[in-house]
Amino acid sequence: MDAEIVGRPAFAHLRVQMRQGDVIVAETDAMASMSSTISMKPKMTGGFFTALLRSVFGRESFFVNHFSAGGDGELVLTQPTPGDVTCLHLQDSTLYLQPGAFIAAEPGVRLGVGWAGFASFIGREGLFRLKATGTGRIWFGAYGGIFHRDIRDEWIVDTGHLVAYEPTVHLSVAMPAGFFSSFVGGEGLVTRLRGQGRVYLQSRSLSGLAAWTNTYLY
Amino acid sequence: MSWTLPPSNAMKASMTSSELFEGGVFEPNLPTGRSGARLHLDTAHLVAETPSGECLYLALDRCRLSLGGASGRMVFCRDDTLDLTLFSEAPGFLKALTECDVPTVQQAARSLVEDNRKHRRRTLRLLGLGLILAALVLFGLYQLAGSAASFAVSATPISIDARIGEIALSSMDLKGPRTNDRALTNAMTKIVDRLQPHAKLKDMTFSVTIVDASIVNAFCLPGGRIVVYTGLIRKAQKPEQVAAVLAHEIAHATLRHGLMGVLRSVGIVGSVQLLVGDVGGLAALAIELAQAGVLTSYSRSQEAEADHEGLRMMYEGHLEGRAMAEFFVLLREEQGDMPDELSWLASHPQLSDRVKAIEATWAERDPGLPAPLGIDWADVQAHAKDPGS
Repeated sequence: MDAEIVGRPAFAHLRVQMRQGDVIVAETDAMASMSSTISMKPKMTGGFFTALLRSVFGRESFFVNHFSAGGDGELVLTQPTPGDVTCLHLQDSTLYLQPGAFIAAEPGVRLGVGWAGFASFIGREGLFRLKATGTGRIWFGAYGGIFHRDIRDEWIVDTGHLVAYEPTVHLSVAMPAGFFSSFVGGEGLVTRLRGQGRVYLQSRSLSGLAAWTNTYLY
Repeated sequence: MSWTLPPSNAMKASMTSSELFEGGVFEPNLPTGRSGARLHLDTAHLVAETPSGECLYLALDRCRLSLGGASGRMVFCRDDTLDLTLFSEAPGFLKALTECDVPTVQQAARSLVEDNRKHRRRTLRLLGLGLILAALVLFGLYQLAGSAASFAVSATPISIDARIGEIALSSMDLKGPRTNDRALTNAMTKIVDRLQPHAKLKDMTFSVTIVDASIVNAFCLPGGRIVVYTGLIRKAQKPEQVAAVLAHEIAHATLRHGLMGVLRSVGIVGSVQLLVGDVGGLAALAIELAQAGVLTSYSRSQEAEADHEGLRMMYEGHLEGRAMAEFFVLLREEQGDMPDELSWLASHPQLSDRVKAIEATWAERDPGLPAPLGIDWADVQAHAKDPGS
């Protein structure tokens, strides 16, 4: 199975060349087009309870679609927001994804839900996060561009800009300056990342766009 | 790479723990600087085996332990001189470190176990505090909604009640044909005329609709629209029992319990809208709420309040208040015969408690000599069996 990310960075989507017998797991509604040789079957991920948590708290669908190639064909997958898509090859490792980021994965990657904690909830990053574990490629998307940082000690990210992170990174909510300065300065709360590991960030935030749009609505 | 022991040394190292722990490794010389790995302990090393077959050894006597990661339970073992970090959050990994052969690591691991316990206790305390706070906030919001609804009810003109009742009555499925039987109408009018002067709201006018159906039920919609089923008239042994039921139902209307239900349903925003005179969506709302039974379903405390108020009206109207308790008992005795048709009973819970409360309230009063309603009840019942005859 060959997969290529095209249309980067603004309107990135995933073009997957599948050979007979290939399987790819994708978020529902991610399919934009596909060859008639490919069949689609919705399945719950990791059982009913995990699927329920994933859909209620992970802002992902209750089901994921399994695309199987009955013959050679092409599958085009995309995400709802404009922005970049990136691929990561998990090798017996884990990646946490923020709600809504997941697009697709190879069958070797197991999808579950991990408790993110109240700090994450207060920081508007969700009470749960999607946990991808195993071996295989995973594709995830963002609103805006995606870039990564390898942090060693501490790194501060504005809420809504975090896309994915390794399990070795600890998240906590903090104010970038004092109480008054933080809110007057417009930054409000930020997410403080501690530890060693890679974090994936998006250059734009949807909540930022929503707040900006609201100023024209009222 | 400096951290990889020669195979001969590795062969010499005897394993102290055969247990394997899922985890990973950070090392600058690895292709991406990191890898997933399976960890195990030997006498002097923590060993990481990557999926690509590399073995990395971290000398335990140079190992610095810390806790962290996304879960807060990830154990990091770091050798600063080699820039090598092995990590795992697998269950039992920290315990295995407390049992290793190097005293400094043992001690550091025990200290982390203690930190872990403290962290867990703190999390539980915070969780408990959070739950208590959430419950308090919810309770506060509920109280606020209740106060807002009560305030909105007192500030809403009675004409709104009448309008809601009128729209609801015209849209409700009454489950039977309306009847204008003269004997039935006269009897019901006589009862309402006796009660009306003693109603709490003097401006509210009452009208009775009689429906020919075997349902033992009666209700009063907001604004004073009363519906009585012939099934209830047939069941009652004397007119005072019907008067007691109607007094109770009228009390619901004069205490504006139906309107309270409407305002609770539409919430604080809806209450404010109604207060400022926005009755545009009222028609649709009344139809919807009438169909959902909101206008005629009351809380236990509202039922008790209506019993009390109904008894007051009976007392002041010189009617035998015990008839209310009698009718409850009558319904309870016959409940087994026709459970589906006793909807008036079914919607009024804790009947025996209420009978006791009614008896107690009535015993406190000095009713004097009751004034009969002057209704030929046998004739009314005959008409209830065959309206229009």
